[in-house]
Amino acid sequence: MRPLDYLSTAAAAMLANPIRTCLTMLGIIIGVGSMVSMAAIGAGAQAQVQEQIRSFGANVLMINAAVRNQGGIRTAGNIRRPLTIEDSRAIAELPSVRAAAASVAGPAQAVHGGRNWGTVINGTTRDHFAIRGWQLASGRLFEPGEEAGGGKVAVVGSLVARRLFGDEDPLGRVIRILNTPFEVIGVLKEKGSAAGQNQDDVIFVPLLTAMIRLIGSANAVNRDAIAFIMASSKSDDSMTAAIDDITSLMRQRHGLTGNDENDFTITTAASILAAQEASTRTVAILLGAIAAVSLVVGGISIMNIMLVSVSERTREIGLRLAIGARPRDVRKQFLLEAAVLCVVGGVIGVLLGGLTAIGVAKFVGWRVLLEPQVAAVAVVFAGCVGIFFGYYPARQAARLEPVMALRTD
Amino acid sequence: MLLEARRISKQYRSDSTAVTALHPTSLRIDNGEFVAILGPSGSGKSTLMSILGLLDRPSSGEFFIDGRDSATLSDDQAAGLRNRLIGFVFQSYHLLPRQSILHNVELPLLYSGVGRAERRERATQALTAVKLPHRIDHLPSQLSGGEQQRAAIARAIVTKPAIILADEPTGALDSATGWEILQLLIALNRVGRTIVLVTHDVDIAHQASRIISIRDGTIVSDQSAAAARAAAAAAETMEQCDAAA
Ligand SMILES: Nc1ncnc2c1ncn2[C@@H]1O[C@H](COP(=O)(O)OP(=O)(O)OP(=O)(O)O)[C@@H](O)[C@H]1O
Ligand SMILES: [Mg+2]
Repeated sequence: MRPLDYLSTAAAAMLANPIRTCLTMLGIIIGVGSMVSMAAIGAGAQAQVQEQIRSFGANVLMINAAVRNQGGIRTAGNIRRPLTIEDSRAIAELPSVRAAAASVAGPAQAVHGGRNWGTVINGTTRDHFAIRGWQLASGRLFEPGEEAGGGKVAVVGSLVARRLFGDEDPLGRVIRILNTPFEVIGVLKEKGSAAGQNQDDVIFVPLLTAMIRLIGSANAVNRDAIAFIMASSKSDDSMTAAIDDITSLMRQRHGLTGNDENDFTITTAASILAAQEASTRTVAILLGAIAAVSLVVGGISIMNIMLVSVSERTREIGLRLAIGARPRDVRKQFLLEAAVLCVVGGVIGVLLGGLTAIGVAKFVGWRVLLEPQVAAVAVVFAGCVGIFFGYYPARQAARLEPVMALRTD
Repeated sequence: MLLEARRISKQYRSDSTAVTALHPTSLRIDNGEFVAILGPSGSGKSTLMSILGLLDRPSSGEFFIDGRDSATLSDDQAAGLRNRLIGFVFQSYHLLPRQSILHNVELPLLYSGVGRAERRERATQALTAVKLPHRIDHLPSQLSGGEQQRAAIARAIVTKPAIILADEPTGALDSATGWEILQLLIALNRVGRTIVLVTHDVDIAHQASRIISIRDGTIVSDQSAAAARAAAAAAETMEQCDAAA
């Protein structure tokens, strides 16, 4: 028997009972579909994280005050200290650090003419722009005089510029934030979104201006408290040194000794990546388990239906043997039927899984990424499931005695 | 000679009991013969035919086909011989219900590795030979019983086998249609095929050139059709004499 003849025989058998064929494939369709859609969602999430990291900057560090331990026992000597402008200045002096900029941030309404836009106000120093890789589309950044004197000037993100000014040129215009007039001196280039947040939805003002007029300090007790410090290392290679230097500097400045816990955290792209990788791995194992279970269930249902099919088609098998089919021809026929069932089910599963992923992307707003290799692996794997679970029924078919098979009614 | 059985027997064993379907039997069938195996239901006709057709193996004794000892044949070799040497015709046609007549007739060629185009051509020829060239795309269920049996005969001859084994080929048909099928087998015998026809119908058996009568798994007579006719006539005369007396 020629290879193509096996295939057309298998196809004919499948088409002979289309409804049963579809039901048989259901398990495989669901298995492969969930595998593919989950993989697409997982890959999308990962791509998003990578983009986030890219936008964070490879040699950027963010220093935050540690969140207070809930229910942890804390003695008087351990009262958490906020970060201050002085901390930021000291960090900037470190040899491994190129620059550091303190920030306070908070939500606020900005008004220009009849337009009104709720956005984030970020009070910071001009170094912040260099550290985060912000570039000007037009205008200029804060001048030292404006920084020291609490100047009422603003550098706006591209989204804010669009919302408040439309097609007008924002430069030199005045916007009101919490009833304080600010002159727009610069517009930033578009940066896109990261972690589901539009980064261009922001207004930068000088740090002191923000602390005095808009947001206040980050801490009710300490008037110098700021929210976070962004810093950059001298180079990508000096990241470890920068982390070590900042850690020991901060411990020293905050009077921490011996086993005292750090009262601050340092976040880098690498640490985001590590955290994300750990959770991605957990998710991948979970999804793998779901896919494996549904494929095994699908495989068992294939085996079940194939066994039914073998006993139903005993007369057909008997006839084929009588007119010259070798046992191995019969075995191959049934094996191929199982494999074709699974491969076709796998292809349908890939299509449905892809559609599901796209649907999820549309309605939930997640990013999805359907990789062709994943689809190929899923289909090949489904075929293997078919061969594995089809083997036993196929062997049963090939073992039938021609006389007995012909006698069956 | 084509088929030779030496003291073949067949027992069917179930858990406790053993049924002897065929007692030790010897027979030879030569090329070009038209043999009828005649006997009542349960006499072992189908059992004998299964062994002659390599569908089953005897419990004891030796069976030779085309000079080859069936005991030495592997399953695959037996399948090959069935494919090349033997064509089967069954009482219930055994056509695959969901495939076209043409496809059904092509089926044996599939297992001889014949390519698509040649399969189609030879199947069409075979269907023409059984006078069924016009309904090749129909499903078996769309044909009458006689037409289905013609298709089954086309399938049996499509590999041009030396022997045709027909087990009650007219059993499911009315007598007129059965007769047509029989004429088809007679015609095939005329062009040189060996025909073994299993039947319980004496009239049909008398169309063969040789009649082997079997009862309870034993051959009770093996004679030419002419001799059988003479014997039957004599028996009838005897009965009439008895009745007259
Ligand atoms: N697989 C089997 N298991 C047990 N007994 C069997 C088996 N096949 C046949 N027999 C028995 O063997 C005997 C002969 O059966 P066989 O089918 O050869 O008869 P037959 O002459 O073809 O009858 P019919 O004209 O009804 O087809 C019967 O008594 C039958 O019950
Ligand atoms: Mg019988």
